[in-house]
Amino acid sequence: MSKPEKKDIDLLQVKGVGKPLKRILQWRGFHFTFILVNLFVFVIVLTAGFFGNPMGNMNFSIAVVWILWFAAVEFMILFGGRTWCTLCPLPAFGEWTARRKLVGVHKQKRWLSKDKKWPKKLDNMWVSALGFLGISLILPWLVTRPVVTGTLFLLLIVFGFLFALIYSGRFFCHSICPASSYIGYHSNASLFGVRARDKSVCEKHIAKECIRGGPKGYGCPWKLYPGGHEDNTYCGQCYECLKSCPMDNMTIKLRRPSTIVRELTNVAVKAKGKYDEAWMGFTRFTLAIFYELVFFGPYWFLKDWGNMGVNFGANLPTIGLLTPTLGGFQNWLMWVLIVAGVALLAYPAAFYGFSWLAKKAAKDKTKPTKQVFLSFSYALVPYGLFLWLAFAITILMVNWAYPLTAFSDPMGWGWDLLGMKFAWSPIVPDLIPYLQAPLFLIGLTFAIVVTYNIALKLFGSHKKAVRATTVMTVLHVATALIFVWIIMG
Amino acid sequence: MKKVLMWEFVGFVSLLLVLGAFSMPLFDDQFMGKQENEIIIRLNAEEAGGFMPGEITVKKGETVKLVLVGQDVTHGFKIEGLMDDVGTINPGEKKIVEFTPQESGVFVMMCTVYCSPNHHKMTGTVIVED
Repeated sequence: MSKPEKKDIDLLQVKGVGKPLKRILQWRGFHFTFILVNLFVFVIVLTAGFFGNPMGNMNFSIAVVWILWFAAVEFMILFGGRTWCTLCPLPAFGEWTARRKLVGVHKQKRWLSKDKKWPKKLDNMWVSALGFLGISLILPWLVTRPVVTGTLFLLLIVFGFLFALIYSGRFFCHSICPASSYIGYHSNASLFGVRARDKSVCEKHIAKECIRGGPKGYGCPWKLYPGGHEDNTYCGQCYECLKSCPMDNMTIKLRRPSTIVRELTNVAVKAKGKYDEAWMGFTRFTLAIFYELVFFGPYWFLKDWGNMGVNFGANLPTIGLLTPTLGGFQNWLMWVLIVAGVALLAYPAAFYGFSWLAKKAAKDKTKPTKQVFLSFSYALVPYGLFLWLAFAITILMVNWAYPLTAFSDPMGWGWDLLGMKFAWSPIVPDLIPYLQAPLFLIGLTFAIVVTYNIALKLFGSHKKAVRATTVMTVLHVATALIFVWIIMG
Repeated sequence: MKKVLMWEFVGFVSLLLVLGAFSMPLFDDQFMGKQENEIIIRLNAEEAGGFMPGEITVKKGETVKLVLVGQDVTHGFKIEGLMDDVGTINPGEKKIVEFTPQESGVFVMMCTVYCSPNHHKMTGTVIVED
């Protein structure tokens, strides 16, 4: 093991915490129990989405998913990586059916699935990134119309089920789910990581139960080699490797910021041809700004464009209310062009331009610009995450009353099951920008540090790295100023 | 082997219980704490369904409690010839009013606050039986 790795905290060896935590994670009922609890919430989301109050703010599906969950996921990424994927009930029906087990481990080769290998062309996050962009293009509908949210989640569960019957493992989560990839992408800036204690133990161990499965656990459903983990992108934190490893060599590491920067730099430098991850970064980064604008910005016409001229909330019986007007649809197309244009073309083009300038400033002729561009894009992993954290803080502080009330009245029918009815009352709204500012300053600092480390590895000298980082910093500061301008209204 | 099967069985039963949450809307009356002689009317903009239910039947001379629940936007409520305007009912607000019909017949309940472009259509029927 190299020195910096030793500095990380091996959570499963922390006194008083490690042993019970390990026992829980190795218990086969752990995953099932958490998914079951979450599935209960999910069933309420579907029921309320289709049949509850058509007004979003009074409906559990909107209030809990697009306020509480949406914000909580960002914090989960920072502190727990893909913890949401551990709990997510969407792929559960497919996985249970394919395995023919709810809790236990079946004998090998008895999948109730075609067990096909994943198509190589789809072994990336393109579909997922474009899916996230796609649902963001109907954002004003999605986050205010319960039936749209209900339909989206129903489709995700159906696709999750079908994919599990065709492909082996978590192909749906790995490459299709619109949330999974951005969670994985930003998890590379997380304090959390599932890692081998000693990689050499895994290298020498021939049986490799973490890949093939064993009597106590399945082989990695995400088709990874857990013993060789160096990043968090595709580790779904299902902890099957912790269960199956007979060498007791898998653990959870609490990563220090220096480790995060080092591991992220390694991912960035090795990222050859990973345009999918670069565009995931651009999409997430620019959409953070659009989400802030749509949810809290003063530009009412943006919401109108996104709404396609429809003013009503809708559930299944009133779904007809969502028929857009022709003018509204035309405005929406304009909205699509702006959002997709900025996310897919304008910002990446600016980023490419700055990468080219950075390479020129570094006076380096050995590295192609596209490699510099791809590697530098990984600075958006922490930067984007902290922008989204700033957004999450706002949405929670402004709209906290809706999800709490929704737990007491999930259908929005006037129930008060838990005695929790709160009127909309934002918490210190005037101070929110002052809470957001430090968050994106941390993100910006992180981005600059990561860019410098990447540049150092790419160009091999401190001087060159500083020059290249200075150029990229201009872009990162400029985007930070745009964000500040937006949140200040 | 028996232990493994037991856990699968426990899991399956728990799963069924969780899926049972789909039946949640069926418990509306219990969750609303509905009393005898109480009628719950939910008020939606006409485009989203209007009064739910749109028709109620009551008995002449018997006191009825109406639980008016605002659903989407601010509404008002009155029953022409039976009950005066009860004032505004905001989204999420619950207003309980009582009335005792003294004559039988068919009456019209209506929204008294301009609530949507189809506000004028937001009406319902109150049937008073002997």
